[in-house]
Amino acid sequence: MADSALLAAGGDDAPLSYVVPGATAIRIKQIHVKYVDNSAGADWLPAVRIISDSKHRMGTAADQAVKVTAGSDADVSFFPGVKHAAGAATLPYLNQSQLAQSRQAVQTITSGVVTNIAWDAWQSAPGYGDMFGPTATTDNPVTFVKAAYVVITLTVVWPAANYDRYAELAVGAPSSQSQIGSPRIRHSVSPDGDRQTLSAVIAGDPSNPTTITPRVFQGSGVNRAITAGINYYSIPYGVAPFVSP
Amino acid sequence: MAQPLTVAFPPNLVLTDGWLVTITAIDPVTGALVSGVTISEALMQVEVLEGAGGYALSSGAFMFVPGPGA
Repeated sequence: MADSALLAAGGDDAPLSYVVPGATAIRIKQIHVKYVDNSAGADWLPAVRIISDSKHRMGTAADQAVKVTAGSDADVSFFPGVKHAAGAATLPYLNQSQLAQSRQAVQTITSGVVTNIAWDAWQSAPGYGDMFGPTATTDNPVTFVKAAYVVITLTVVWPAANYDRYAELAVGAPSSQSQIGSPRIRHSVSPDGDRQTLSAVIAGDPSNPTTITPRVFQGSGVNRAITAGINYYSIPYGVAPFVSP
Repeated sequence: MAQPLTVAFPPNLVLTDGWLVTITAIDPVTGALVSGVTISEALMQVEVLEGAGGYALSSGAFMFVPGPGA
C-alpha cells in the first residue's frame, strides 16, 4: 500500500493530535516534530501518545535520555525500532580523556643514572581527571584512580651522538588483566631525528594502585640534556585493545 | 539552535479508525503535559494498510488539531 506524509505547519501549542480517518488502517513509519519552547517552566520530554478509539491511552513514546532543557528548542524524530545509545556517563571515562605533559626546558640526565622525567608544562582535555585524578598536572609518576586502559606515547629528544640510551614507562603495581611489564625503547646509536618514541597501552588498577613513571637513562659517560613530551589518552574500560604476549 | 534528538517508537503498531496520535511535551517525572511548548511543524509518514483507496491521505494543518489539555 501507499505511504502518506501528513504535514502540519503552524505554531500551535502542544499537544496536537491526528485522528485516523474512517475505514482506514495505518502504520506509523516516522514522526518528525519541531518544538519551540516559549515559556516552559521546567525541562520536558518530547512525546507521542497513542490513544485508542475508546479514548484509552495505549502508550507513550518518550525517552528519559532525550530531555530538553527548559527554554531550548528541539527537532525530534520518532522512529520505530531504534534504541537510544548509551550515554557517555555509563562509561568509566569520556572518550576524549587526555593528559599531555612536556619538558620544554632542557633537563640534564647524568650518565649512568636512571632519571624520572621532570615535566614543566601540561595540558588536558575534558575528563582527564578520571584517569589520574584532577590534581595530576606535571605529576611523575601518575597514579590510576579508576580502572582504565590508557594509550600512551612518549617522545624523548636526545643530543645527537652514538651512546647507549633508553626511554621507559615504568609500570608499578600493574593490573593483572594486562600485564605488559614496563615498555622500553633503547638505542646505542643516534636514532632517526635524534629522538626516541615509545607507545604503549597500559591497563591500570586503582586498588593496587597502578602507577606509570616515564624515565630515561643514558650511558655516554657525560651529562646529556633532553626535552620530552608524553600524551595519555584513556579509552573505555571493557574494550580490550591489547593481548598480553 | 534546536537540539536534534531521536526517540524510539513502538514498531508495527497498526492504528485504525478513531485512534489518535498525539504529539506533546511531558514532564520527565510526572508525565503530565507541559505548557509553554509550541509545535511549529509536525510531519508523520505512515503506511496506509487499509482504506483511502490506496491513495495518499489528506495532509495539512487541519489534520492536526489541539488535543485535550492544550
